[in-house]
Amino acid sequence: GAGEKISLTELLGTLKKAAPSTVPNKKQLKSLKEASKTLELPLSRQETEKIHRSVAYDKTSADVSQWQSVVVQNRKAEQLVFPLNQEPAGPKPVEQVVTGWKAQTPLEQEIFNLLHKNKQPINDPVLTPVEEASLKAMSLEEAKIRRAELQKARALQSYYEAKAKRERKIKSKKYHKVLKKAKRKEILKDFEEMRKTNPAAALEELKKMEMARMEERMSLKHQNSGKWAKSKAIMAKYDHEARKAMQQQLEMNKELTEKLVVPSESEEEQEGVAEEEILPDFVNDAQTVIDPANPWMMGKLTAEPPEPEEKAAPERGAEVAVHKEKDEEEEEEEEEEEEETLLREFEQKRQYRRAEEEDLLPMPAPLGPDEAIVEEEQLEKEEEDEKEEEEEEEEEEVEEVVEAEILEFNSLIQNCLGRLTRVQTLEDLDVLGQSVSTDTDIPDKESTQAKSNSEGQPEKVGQKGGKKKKMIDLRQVLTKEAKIIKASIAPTAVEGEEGEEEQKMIIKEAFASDDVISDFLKEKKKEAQASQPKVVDLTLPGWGEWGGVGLKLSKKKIKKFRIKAAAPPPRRDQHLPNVIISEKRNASIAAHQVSQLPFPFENTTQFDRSIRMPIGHTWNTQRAVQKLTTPKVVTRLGTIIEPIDKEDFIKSKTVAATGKQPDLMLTSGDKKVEQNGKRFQRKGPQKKGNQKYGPQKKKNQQQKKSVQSKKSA
Amino acid sequence: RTLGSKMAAASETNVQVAHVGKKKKVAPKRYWEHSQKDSKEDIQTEGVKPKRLGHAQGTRAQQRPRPVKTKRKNDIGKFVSGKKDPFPGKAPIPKEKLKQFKRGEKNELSSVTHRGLKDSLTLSEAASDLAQSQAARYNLLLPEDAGFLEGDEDEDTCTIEQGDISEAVDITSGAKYFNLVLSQFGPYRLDYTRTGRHLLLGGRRGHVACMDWHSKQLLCEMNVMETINDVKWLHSEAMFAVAQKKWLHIYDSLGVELHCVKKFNDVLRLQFLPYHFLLATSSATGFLQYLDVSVGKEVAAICTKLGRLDVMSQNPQNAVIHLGHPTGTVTFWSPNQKEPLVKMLCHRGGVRSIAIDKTGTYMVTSGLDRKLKVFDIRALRPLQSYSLPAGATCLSMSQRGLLSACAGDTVQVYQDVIGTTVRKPYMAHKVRGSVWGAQFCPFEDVLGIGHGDGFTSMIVPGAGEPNFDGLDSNPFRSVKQRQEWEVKALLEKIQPELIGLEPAKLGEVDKATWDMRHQERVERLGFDPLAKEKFKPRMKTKGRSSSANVEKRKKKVAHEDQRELIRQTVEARMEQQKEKKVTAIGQRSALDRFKK
Repeated sequence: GAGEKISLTELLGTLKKAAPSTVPNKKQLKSLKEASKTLELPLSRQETEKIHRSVAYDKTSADVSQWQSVVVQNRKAEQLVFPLNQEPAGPKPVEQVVTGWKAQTPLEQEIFNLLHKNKQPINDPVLTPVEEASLKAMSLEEAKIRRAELQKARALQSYYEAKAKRERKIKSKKYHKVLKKAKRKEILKDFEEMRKTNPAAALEELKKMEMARMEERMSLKHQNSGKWAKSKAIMAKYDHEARKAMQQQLEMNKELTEKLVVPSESEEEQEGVAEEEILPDFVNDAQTVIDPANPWMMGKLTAEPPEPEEKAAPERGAEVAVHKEKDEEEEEEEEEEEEETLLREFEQKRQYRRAEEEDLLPMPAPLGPDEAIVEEEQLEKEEEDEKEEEEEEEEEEVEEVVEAEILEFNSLIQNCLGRLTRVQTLEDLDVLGQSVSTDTDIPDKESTQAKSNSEGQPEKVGQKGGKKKKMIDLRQVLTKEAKIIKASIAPTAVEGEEGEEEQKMIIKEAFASDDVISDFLKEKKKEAQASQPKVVDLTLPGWGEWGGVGLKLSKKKIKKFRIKAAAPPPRRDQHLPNVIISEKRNASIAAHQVSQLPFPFENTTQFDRSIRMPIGHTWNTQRAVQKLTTPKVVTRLGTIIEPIDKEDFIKSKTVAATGKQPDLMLTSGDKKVEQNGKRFQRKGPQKKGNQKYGPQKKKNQQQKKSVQSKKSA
Repeated sequence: RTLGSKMAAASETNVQVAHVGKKKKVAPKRYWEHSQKDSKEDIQTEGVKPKRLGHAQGTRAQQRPRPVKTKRKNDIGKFVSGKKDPFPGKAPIPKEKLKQFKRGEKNELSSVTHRGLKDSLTLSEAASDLAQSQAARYNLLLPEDAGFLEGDEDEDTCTIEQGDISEAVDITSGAKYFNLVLSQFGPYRLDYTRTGRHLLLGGRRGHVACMDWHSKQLLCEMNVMETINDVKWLHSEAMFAVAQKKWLHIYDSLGVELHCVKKFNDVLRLQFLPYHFLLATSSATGFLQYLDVSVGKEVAAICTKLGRLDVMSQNPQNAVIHLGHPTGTVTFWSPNQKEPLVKMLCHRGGVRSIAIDKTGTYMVTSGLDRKLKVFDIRALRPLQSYSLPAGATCLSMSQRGLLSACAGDTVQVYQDVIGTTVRKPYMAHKVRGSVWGAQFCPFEDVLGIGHGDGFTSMIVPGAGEPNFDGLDSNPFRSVKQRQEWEVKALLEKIQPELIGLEPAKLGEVDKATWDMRHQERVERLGFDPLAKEKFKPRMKTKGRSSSANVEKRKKKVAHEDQRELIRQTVEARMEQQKEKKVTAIGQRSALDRFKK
């Protein structure tokens, strides 16, 4: 009815009473609940094992990595003395040995006074004040302050970075334009200022601007010739904006290419200009000269050009050497007789060239004119003497000499020496030929130069390349250097028979000299050929084609079956015409050499250099020998060497970490331990997933324990 | 006897020799001199003080001692009181000294990437730095300096005669100029021991004498009744070798014949390599032979095929023997190679004599063409060339770089032939009879000359090295010390295999390829250890080992091998062709299909 209220409890009461129908529902609900509460399947054996393994791996690797530093340290150590943790040998400080001891005698007191003056520690604190001060260098407060400072700096930095990043991402063109303009203005302003305050830097800046101008002038960047500009040009007729943009670009170009005129207002610059004016012209002269070889192009004060020519000569030699090798192969077929005739010809030409080259070369250690004349006189005297003595004997021999040789000598000497002396007999020629270089010491460069130029010999030289060069070099080596004839103060006693015999020998040798050289050259060539790798000829006549007497192998076949080996490295005596160096490997020493690069070394030079120092007593002082031969490992006799104790090195580690702050240790030891504990705990959460496994927990506890025990100790 | 006393003795001789017209020798500055001078000045000033005060009146000499005492006391007090050391740390080592003891280039640590290597290299570099600096620092212990003869103005040193020199110097030094008149068994060869103490003379006509030439005490004298070509001391003064007409003989210092080495015949010249204990001989038949003196074995016999070998010299740096030939060539030899290491054309006439300086850097040769040439052995290039009016024989280099050249009966000594062009001799001397041998005495300013009329000992100031190594060659050693040295030297003997042009090669990594090494091994062993074994058919019974069958089996194996070889070559060729095809496809024309 109206006004009657029904409460929920009443309704429920009815529900309870009418239970029989709802009971099965309840049961069903209950069973449903129970059905959803099934047990999870255990992980498969493999997976659990895998997890076990990974955990075990982490644990052991953490364990092992603790050893890392110790191992590295021991490896690095210059010397390891086992057993490791022994007390330091040698005398201990007195204070440790006798603590309750006092200076009594006057001498002792005096000594102690001295020690006091030097601030040496006497009593309990073993450390000197300086050492203590250094230990106290940074207190906890200071460290905190510094850390805060660092933090602040870092925060600021990140803030600025973020700002810069944001600005960079702005895409508005107008914004950037305005920014650029502002920047440019600022730069100009700076520049003006800089010109007043720091002219040198301004000059630098100016140079940069000049560079920018040059770059602009080189490029077509703002010339309205780009793709963009062309498209705008089409639109320009109708579009005001486009026209403006193009105009702007052109203006930019103009602005950039405008020549910078720096007004010479300041006094310094004027001075600078004055200085420049003071400098003589020839200072700049050398730079303007293009051809160093042409003396006329150079100013009066610049040097004469012998040096570059001298440099050029060896280059030519190198070129020639290349030719030479090719030529040698061709020469193989030639007969020896031909060679000899050739040799003679070459000699002749060589003399020409030598005369030339000597003239061109700067004279080493020029003699005083007087000395030179004296020497020449001596030479002439000697020649005369010799002539008198030998003429009679030698005439027969002279007649035997081939006409060709006389001709050769004549032409030769006339060419190179004719200007100096008149040549009369063959002996004269020979003697002169030997002393060419002494004669050339006499300075008459100009005449020879003129001569050589007039005859146009350089061309000739150019035409004949190759093999002559080698022999020229040889001759140079044998005769070319400046010879100094010394006045012997103590005269030689010429003993009748022996002297004459000697003279004869000398004459013989003088005539045999050319043979000596050519023989040597032949030998050298032979040697070079022998060291060349041989061509392996595998051709079989008659295979694949007709064979028989008079039939030649086809080129194709020769090409196919002749195997050429790679060219050997260039001979060491390549550039030494008077030397044959054996290229044979010294196998006997190889047995004692290191044949493979030892492990940590990266290249042979590294290894060679590492063993370059002799370590014996013969070359070193006693101390150096001891240092150089210190054994890597030393074991003390009669002591038990135990493996490194883990406790030990961990302790040493912690001590090392805190060693710098002993006061901290004393005052806040508890804190320290806590910190340690934290550190271990910090390690824990990283492996949070593994925490449910027993061993890990246990280990942590153990560590804590050990730390505590340390504390108590 | 301590080392110091020996050194003092050496210094005395040196100073005494160099009296005549020599630069006044300024004693090297000592660190204590400065302080002494200072103290003296102080003494004087202090000595004046009391005078002014009028406390004491006496001679200065009387007053001196007192102020010294006070001063010293003051000094000590000041120093100990904490005044700063004006020269803190170690004394600096001059750079040149350091450079002198530098051994090769340092390792560049910046390029090393391996960390462990870097560490070990830094350690070794530090050690070698220490060794270098210490060696340079200890050089201070060699205070003796050599002097030279210096003439008055307008006076040539070469005109100063030996008699004048010996009169001017003290008695001991003067006694070093002497003549032995031995005209009977004429011209003499000579040799000094490495210590410079003993002299060995060998006359052409068989006279052999050895003596301690300082005391002129004769050790032995005899006549071997045979022509003598050369004489040489062995490692010590206990033994010497004589190249006689037929064989090589070895005697002891009492003249007892120890050996007659019949493997060595017609020997003309002898050289002894002290660190290898090798006696090198060159013979008239063109053989260069090496005799190991420590074991008495012939190490090498090389047929040079270059004729009579009467010019011989050794390079003290690398123990290479230099031979001179009548063709004007000089050849370098080691016992390990049957051909010359280097052959060098030096003269247009025959080579008459060779001398090599102590460092083994320079070689001086003289030839029949009357030239004297200086060569740089490292570069094998000529440095200087002199022409002498009478040529030169018997070249000899002193320890300090003086060169003696003989011509006929004159002996000339040149100074600094290598660096500068010399115009006149430094000293000259004339002997009776032509010179047959000349050698500078080690550690003495003496040149020994053997000639037709005996022997002359000539004083040449500045020839010998003033500082000697007491452990290597000690002129003042006793018999006991000599025996000790002998044992040590034998223990440190260098094997003849290590003789070569570059002794530093031993410290380098051998860069030869495997092939080269294998080839050498094959040569050494006489067979190829890696070669495939030849197939040898097994013995089979029941007629299966008939010769036809054996042959068949052999062929079978051979065919198999060949098949393998062919397969390989074919495969290689196929690959080549494939590559060719790949490259050629791009350029194929339409008509290529008709090609066969």
